[in-house]
Amino acid sequence: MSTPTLHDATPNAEAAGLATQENALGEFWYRFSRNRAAVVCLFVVIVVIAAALLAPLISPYDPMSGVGAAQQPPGSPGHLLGTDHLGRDMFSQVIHGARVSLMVGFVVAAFATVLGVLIGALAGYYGGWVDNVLMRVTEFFQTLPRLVLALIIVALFGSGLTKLILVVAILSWPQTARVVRTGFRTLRSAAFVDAARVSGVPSWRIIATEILPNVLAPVVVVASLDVASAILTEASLSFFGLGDPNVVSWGGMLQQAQQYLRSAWWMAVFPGIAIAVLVLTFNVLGDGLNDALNPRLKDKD
Amino acid sequence: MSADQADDRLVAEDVYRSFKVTSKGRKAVLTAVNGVSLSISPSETVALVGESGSGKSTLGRMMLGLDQPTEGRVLYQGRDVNALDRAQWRDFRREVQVIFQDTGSSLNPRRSIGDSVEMPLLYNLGLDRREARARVADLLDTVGLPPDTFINRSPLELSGGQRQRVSIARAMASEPRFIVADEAVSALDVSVRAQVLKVMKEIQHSRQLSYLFITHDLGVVRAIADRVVVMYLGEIVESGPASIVLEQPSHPYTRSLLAAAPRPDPTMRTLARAQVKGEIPSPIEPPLGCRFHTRCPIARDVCATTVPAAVDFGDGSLAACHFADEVRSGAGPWTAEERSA
Amino acid sequence: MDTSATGLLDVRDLSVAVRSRRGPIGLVDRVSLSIGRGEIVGLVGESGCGKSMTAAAIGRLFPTTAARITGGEVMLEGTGDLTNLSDRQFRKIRGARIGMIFQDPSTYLDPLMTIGRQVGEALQAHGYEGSREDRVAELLAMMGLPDAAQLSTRYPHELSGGQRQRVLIAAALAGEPDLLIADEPSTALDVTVQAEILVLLRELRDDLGLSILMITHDLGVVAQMCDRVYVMYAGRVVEERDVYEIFKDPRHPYTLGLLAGTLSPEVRDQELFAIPGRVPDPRAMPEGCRFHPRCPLAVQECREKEPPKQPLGEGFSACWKYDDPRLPRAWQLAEEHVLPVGFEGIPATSDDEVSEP
Repeated sequence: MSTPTLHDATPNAEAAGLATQENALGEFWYRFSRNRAAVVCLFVVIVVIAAALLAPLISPYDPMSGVGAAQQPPGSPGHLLGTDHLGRDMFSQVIHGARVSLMVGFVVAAFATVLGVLIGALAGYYGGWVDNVLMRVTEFFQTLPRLVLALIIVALFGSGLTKLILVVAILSWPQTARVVRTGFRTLRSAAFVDAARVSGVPSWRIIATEILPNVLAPVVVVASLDVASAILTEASLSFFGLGDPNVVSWGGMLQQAQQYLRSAWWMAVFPGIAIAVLVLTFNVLGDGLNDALNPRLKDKD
Repeated sequence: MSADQADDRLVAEDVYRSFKVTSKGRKAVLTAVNGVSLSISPSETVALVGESGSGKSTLGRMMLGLDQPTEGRVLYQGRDVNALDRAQWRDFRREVQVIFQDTGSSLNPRRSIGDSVEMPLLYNLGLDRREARARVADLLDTVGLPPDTFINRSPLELSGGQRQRVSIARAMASEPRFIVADEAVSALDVSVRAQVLKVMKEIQHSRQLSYLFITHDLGVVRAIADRVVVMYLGEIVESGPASIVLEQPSHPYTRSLLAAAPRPDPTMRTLARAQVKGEIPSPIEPPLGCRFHTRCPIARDVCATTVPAAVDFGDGSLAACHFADEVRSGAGPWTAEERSA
Repeated sequence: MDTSATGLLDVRDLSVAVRSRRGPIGLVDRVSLSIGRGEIVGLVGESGCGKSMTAAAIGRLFPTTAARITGGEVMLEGTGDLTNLSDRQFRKIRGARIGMIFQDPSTYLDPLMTIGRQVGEALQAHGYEGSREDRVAELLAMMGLPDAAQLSTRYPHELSGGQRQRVLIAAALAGEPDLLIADEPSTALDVTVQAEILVLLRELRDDLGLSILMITHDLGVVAQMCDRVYVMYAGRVVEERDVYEIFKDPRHPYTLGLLAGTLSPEVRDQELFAIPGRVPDPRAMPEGCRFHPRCPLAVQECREKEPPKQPLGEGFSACWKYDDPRLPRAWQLAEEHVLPVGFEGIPATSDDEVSEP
């Protein structure tokens, strides 16, 4: 994926040129806002983030301790989403679960992005043997079966949120690295990069300040997808009982719900919906960002 | 010629540049520049002409120090550009600058115009930010862009002609003595092209600049060049003063290029098929003998077997053709009229 | 004037606008042009003058979904007004009656499909019956691409730029259209290859009676190729003339300026001439004659009223001063400061061409 803004010598510059707006951010928002679904998803993300941050304030009960009768159905007085087998409030649990999911999602995405950008940039800029070595490593990590490996590692070294995040992150960066590498390969021979060299700019600065900002658009998109898949992976691991037992997570809730599917369906349904919605949201958001950051794709249809 | 004068030139001395490539699944060597010597004197404008694939841009990159010759040397002030110490390299980097073709990628789209022009001031000249800012305004002014309006703009908001002026300002910022202009005006409309060329000429006069003007546009060559060098498949086939090369070309390739340029005169419909046959062959397996013989309208047996030596006409022009004398005298089927005659 | 009545294509008062955040922007303003059978007609002007948009509107291949025709008609002989057709109906016209080629053929060729298949599909699209393979070979040979059997199995990236353009022409002509719209077909090519493509187009006209609308910014190409020329400026046609007349006796200051800026390898001591100022921003077109802010002959009338089409032979000049005796020397006089050149009406921040995002 290369940056769309650079190659503007198309035959019909006249028309497309009129879309030029004064500031890039306004233009970006204009395009992004035309994708209704993405705007809705952005709103959902903001709401979920707010809920997670304010969880101790807005959740009616302590999610970890039984506060009412066990297995009350949704709509029971005081328990909007009912209670679980230990009488804990489902609503409070779902809200607190968002904290784990979002944290895992964001930390993993941040870690994967930093590592991926670093490796992709070096491979793409220098090429040659550097590229060969780094790309073999990248391919190795990319071919590892994600969930299986995560299961093995957690099973071997024990569970815990930090370990879980590390495992998922280590498995997530190759995608970013590849995208960044492609961008760097295209741009390292761009005229403006040569011009920077001729202006006396040292290599590390060329990498960091000339090329990198131009390849960030696809990185943002990939990061958004990373968030979604990290949330899903965390949920899966917790579902298999490999999550952190000391925190409330949606995956963990699902796991506990297994035994009560017949008697308390809501124990599975609400965390399930939460996971599905959040994962879907970040995927749609990624699509929206992709469209907004790559206007060419839309215009060509 | 005194030693001092020779020292002031930018010289390519029998340079070669080959690349390892994969062609049709096999590894091969592509020789983009095959033994070229070229020198540019102070205040001189040399035009480097040829089709894409002739190696002219690769030669330009080597003269800029952006690429290293596989064999041969590029000399600046008598010293090998690729064996300079730190201080000498800084001088070279400052004094030899570039203006690229504007395909929209010659300026970083994420930087403002001011930032782009500022870079060489900060790095090549080592100015501090405040001094640099002040000078950016002057530079933009020099190339006819009002600084107040342009300094904070993004290149995406500019037209091709304006971007090209920014490129000129950026090159000028280093206070260079040589500028390699690689298809610097090719993407521009006629009237914008003239504006940019005018700016370049004015700066040349006021600052004693030299240009290596890489272009395929012979009209532009005529308007600005002192000397013309014609390249074909990595080799120089003809060189000399612009008036001689363009009026009495001595190499069939130069003649073909001239005949193929569409004349802006409907009463002279000289455009005709096959002044040269087909397209430029691959530099991976260049033809034996004279590299041009596969497309040459006057090729004879000797051309396929023997590499022609350069014929020196004694007027500053050279042509690497077995029949250069004949070509200069005008023999051969060059235009539709001549062929039908 | 009669050619327009019996012409193959007759465009009347065509207007095109693009949607934008701040409302529609007019790019083509009431352009009329006609093309007779077997005629090569040039449409010239600088980037941003609307020439490609005009061509795109005729062939209904807009570069962006934001563009649309806002007025006028496109009459094609035997079919009627093309602007009334649905997209589905239009697709039949495109290829069967109108073929199109562009500056960059690789954009329009499928990189994953062999040359033979692409040309074959173009044939199929127009319901060609008979041996498709033979016809493909025939078409490729007609485009000066011998050894069709071997070439048919190749992919676009294995071809040179010139060969790709020939393939695109072959595909465009597969449906045996009457009109070929050629948008800067040789601009991206080397000069020797450009010459070959141009000669090929000329031969196709001679052999098949093809009509060609040639969109170009290169007056050399116009001089070598065209029978008649339309000059566009800021979305309007400012002059229409026979090719010999327009080079000998141009009657619009803009045309004169373009000619004065053309450089020729044969001519000694050429002045580098550039029309001062910039092409106006389509969002802020000048009143009256759109060229008046750059024109050395502009008077009050030019600033206020749109100039009528002053008939000249078979064509016209849309200039109030078309018969001013100073017109032929207008730019020299301006350079000598005998005539003023105003820059009013053009905001300093506008572009001299419209740039792309």
